[in-house]
Amino acid sequence: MKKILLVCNDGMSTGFLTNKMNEYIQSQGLDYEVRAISEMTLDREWENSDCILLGPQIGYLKDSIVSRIHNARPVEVISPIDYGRINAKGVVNQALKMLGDL
Amino acid sequence: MDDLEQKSFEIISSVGYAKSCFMKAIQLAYEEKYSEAQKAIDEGNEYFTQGHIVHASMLQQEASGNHIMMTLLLTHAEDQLMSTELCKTMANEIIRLYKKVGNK
Repeated sequence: MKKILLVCNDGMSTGFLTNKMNEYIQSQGLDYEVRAISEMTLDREWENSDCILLGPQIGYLKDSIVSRIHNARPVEVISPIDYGRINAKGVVNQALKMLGDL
Repeated sequence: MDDLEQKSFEIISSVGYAKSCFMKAIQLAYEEKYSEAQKAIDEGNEYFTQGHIVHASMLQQEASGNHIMMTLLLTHAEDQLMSTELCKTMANEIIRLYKKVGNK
């Protein structure tokens, strides 16, 4: 099972999106797991993931996050439109593309 | 997803993205890329306004007697709105400061 990590300031709004994404993944019978964490715990969590998606509110940290994880995982910022609409399908598809599964 | 959750998320998403623009603008100004910094500020302002409009419409709804139920998610949205407003003010000041120091 591949693991998708969502990161934001506090993990609250991404936590909300996580539930919707896991519901969508289950409904499609896909084999992925989505987790939300706060940016502060990234350093001890990132190794347990296959790709990392950032909430739009911490998009400005992308470059520093890529170097913090030694460029070892693909990192992208979630589109603010998908995020605002809680478009779980859109964000899952973004992750699948990053993982080369779509 | 109910209407309240949707609106809360709209606020969190637009002002969250705006905050990221303002922080990016500070980074660009530090690198003396002032016109790119201004573009980031302009983009941030646009997104900030979008979030503000959603919030204002909720205030108007409540003022007209249509009570809105307070949730932790809405509190979080208002928290993001407030901190981004501060971030916006400070970003503009910090850019002015970098320009002043850079011109010496």
